[in-house]
Amino acid sequence: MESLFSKNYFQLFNFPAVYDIDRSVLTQRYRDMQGLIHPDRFVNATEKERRISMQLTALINEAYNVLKSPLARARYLLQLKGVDIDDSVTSKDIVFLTEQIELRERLEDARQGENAERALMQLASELQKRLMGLQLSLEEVFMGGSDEALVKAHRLYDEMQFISRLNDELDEIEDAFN
Amino acid sequence: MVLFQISEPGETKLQRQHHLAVGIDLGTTNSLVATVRDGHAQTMVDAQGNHHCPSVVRYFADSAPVVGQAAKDAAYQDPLNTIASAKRLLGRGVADIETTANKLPYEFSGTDCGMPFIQTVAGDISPVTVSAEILKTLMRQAEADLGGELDGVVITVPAYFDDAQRQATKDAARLAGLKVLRLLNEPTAAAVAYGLDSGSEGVHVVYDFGGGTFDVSILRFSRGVFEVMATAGDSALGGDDVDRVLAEWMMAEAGLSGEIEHSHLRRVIGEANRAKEALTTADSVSLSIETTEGSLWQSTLSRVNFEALIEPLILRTLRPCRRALRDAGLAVGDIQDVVMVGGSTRIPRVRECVAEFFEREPMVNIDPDKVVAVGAAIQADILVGNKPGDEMLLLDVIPLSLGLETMGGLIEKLVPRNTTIPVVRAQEFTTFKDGQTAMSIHVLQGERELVTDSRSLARFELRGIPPMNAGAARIRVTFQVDADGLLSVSAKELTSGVESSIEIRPSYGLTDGEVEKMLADSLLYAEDDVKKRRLHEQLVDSARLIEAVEAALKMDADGMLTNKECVTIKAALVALKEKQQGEDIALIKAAHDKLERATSDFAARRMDIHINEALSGKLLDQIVD
Repeated sequence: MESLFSKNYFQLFNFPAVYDIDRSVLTQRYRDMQGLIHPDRFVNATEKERRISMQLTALINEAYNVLKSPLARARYLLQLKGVDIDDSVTSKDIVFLTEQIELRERLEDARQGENAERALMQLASELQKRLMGLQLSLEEVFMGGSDEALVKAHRLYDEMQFISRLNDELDEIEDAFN
Repeated sequence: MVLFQISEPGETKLQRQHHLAVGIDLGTTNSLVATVRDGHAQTMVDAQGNHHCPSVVRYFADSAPVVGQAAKDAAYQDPLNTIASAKRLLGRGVADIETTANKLPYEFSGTDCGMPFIQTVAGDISPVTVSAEILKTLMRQAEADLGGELDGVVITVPAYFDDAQRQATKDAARLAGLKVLRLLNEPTAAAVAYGLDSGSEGVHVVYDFGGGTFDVSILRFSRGVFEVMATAGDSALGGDDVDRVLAEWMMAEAGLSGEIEHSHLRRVIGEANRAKEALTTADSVSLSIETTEGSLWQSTLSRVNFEALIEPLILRTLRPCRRALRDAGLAVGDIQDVVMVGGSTRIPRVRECVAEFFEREPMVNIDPDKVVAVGAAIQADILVGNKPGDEMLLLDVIPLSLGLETMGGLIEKLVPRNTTIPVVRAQEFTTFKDGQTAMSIHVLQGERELVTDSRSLARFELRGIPPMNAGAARIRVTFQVDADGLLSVSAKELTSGVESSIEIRPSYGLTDGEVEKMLADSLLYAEDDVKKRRLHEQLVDSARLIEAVEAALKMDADGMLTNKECVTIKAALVALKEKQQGEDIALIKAAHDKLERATSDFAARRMDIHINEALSGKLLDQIVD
């Protein structure tokens, strides 16, 4: 049997390496695994066992975090399929670049506008919808296994990453309002 | 070998034996100890029948310190040697507490370890030692009641305690001679106390406004698993601040300046505390304090005016509530109920504000002062192994983000707040100068982006990096946060393998060596007592190891071990058993460590294989379902 530490995140949770996974099954398996390996179950064990339990739990936590996040899961799956993701390279897609600039401007306008809180909420809900849409597109694209499909998935991932970051910035701005 | 004992019940006698375990709520104002008796968790009482032990320690020049009510009663007559609210100083630096300290009636002295020591007739005392005295008093009380030495304790800490504060708490326990099963977040403990009572599935908010800290946590309880979704708070906001605001108001009204004597200030704060408590039920209260001239200032305070005075403090608790909701990705409507914890939630206006904010009446069925200790006792009972079949599991989070200083005084976050623990995260950095052979690593905790706004946990240096061009070295920094929320950091240069690691004993804490030294020349124990206790601990530990190894050999020696490995392990086993007959702690410890080392690979193999098998079994079950 293969060591748990050498399995990939999908294997750990007994899923095939696909993008579309059942969230509730994932959560249930996560809890079952925690029930077996969590350090609370090894309080009276030997030091070595306590350390392994801790490391294994950390691994399961990390795997769960990646698999439950649509963005992190896309990235992980792309890497698993051999796609090299370099965050320092900017997209060459002119349409997407133009859109990035537009969205940034909208964020600035919303922040400085008179009805800032409302405008920001509006933008936040648009971004949410956009993220949902991207997730569905990724599910579809990842179904096809061709190199072409992976290139497309990579592009969708880049887009999702940008929108997610913008969304995080929005959260931080909202934080400042509180 | 807990995991495998479950599958072979009745194999061992240690397993079935009832272990003595307690939960301790080490509070700012009061501390409590609780235990599970006949399946019921309850707080324990002292010889006088009190559930609460005031968290106050009075020091004397030539006799042992006094802890609890007697110390609290002496606070007015001997303010400088009577330490209250030491929890506020735990894991804090001198600069940290300057704002608090000039309002605390003690004389401080700076130290090398960054932690402020309090000057008393018994010498300079660290807040860790003060906390250890309180823990020891509770331990003695519990041991007298249960009729034996404790096998382990769960100690609660505010969820918003940072790494230094958690470490200081654990050091205090070590000084008191306690085996800590787990540091548990106070709101999580409260949720356990409520959750097991009502068995309710859903999302709960725990609003914990105590004597010195405020915490809010959002937890989901589902099929035996408590999952902390988010936590937020303020580790320097509590009922003490309510007293202080009220005291400052009285002093201003009475024309008293801030420059009054310590004992006088104590009396004013005491009067404020009395008034606050009276206003929980009364509509108004009469006040009287001495002026500097010795005359008496008298007045009355209505509840309405009192509420206006403290409103800003209550509003400060709602900000973290908002943030926790957002971090959990929830709206007020998703919340099933709100649990109130901590003495300050007795203030009617606090309850009103919470009800308004969460749009529902908060739950107050369990005494808000006891609920944390009760939850800790339940968890201690499970962890120590008294309920082997129990499926209850707590998944907790780290309250504050952890990161590293990068160029330009900015912070690179490695572990964001509200990440489930334990967690291991690594990040690679590189050198920025040609031929650079060392790199300093500065570990920080907090939510701000600038180093200057965050809490410095530790600095350490990775040396011996082979000279390379700028950007060629690859330095991997690994953060590891264990189930107690404690951090350790290691760094490694990947091309050469140069390694450096530290436990975070930081900026504001005691090093391992300092704790050892304090233990060694501590007045906390008589010499014999220490020896007896340590021998007992060692024997119990070793008995556990022997038993685990024997069970493991019986089960898995065939197939998992080579002959040579088997012989080595058996020899180490026999050697430890021999040493167990004697009373030499060092010899037993050495034999113990040798057996641990000999079985280390075997243990790792077994863990991996058995967990793998168990998981496959679990997963198969689900498919059958």
